[in-house]
Amino acid sequence: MKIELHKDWTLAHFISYIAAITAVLLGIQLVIQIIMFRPVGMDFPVKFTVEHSDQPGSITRDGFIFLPGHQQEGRLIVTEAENRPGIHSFLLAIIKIIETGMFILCAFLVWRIFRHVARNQPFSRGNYKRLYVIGWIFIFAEIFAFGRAMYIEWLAFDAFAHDPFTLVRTTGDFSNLLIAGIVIIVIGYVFKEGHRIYEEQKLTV
Amino acid sequence: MAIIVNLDVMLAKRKMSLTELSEKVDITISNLSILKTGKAKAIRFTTLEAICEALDCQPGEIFEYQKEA
Repeated sequence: MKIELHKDWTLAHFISYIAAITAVLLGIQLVIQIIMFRPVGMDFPVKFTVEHSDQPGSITRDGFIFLPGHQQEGRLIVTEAENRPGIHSFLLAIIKIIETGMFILCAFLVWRIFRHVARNQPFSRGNYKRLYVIGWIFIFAEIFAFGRAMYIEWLAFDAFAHDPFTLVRTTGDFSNLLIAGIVIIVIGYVFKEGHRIYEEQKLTV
Repeated sequence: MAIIVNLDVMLAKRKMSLTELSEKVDITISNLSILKTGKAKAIRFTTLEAICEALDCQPGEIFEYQKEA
């Protein structure tokens, strides 16, 4: 069976359009986030582990932590310190904006990569550099998410200081994006080598 | 690069234009220009054979090694 790659570029066109639309939608979301910027309340998924002294083992259940600290039904509330009103929510809102910005950049770079692929130039000089940037963004996003989780756990630690039997842990696996980032960087190296071979081939008479 | 391409010298000796050579060896003028200006990274044996045949010369007459200073 003969595989003709150049006939498959329509898929690259499709992915480039999807990436462009995603970048635009995320851009609109970012603009709205900036215009409507205020440290509003946010729910953060967590796991509560309650250790009972009279029973063996511990009970773990899913829950939410709501920031900032005003009373709301059905949620476990973390109150903010009186002398720093809104600072935690403010920081978390800023982190959310930065995260959105990083993913806009990712979508934009994916659009550029697939536009080159669609034009039958997958091994262009820019593509491997874009892949490196996407890989590093993924790694930083994971570090960011981990930092945010630690921050929320720190807030929860303060809130549950009176209850030594309850341990609050943020949910989520913090290795997925990290592994994806490393894989993308490796693909970037492959594209760099591809670019070198392509350039050499172009200058072979 | 330490390899000097003397294609223009050979063309002048044979009183042949680049267009004529490109027609004889069936290689585009742009590719021959890359070779003539020394920008080429590699040359295929088939291309070299065709050029040598068209110019009635040896590979050593087209290429020359010069130590870089």
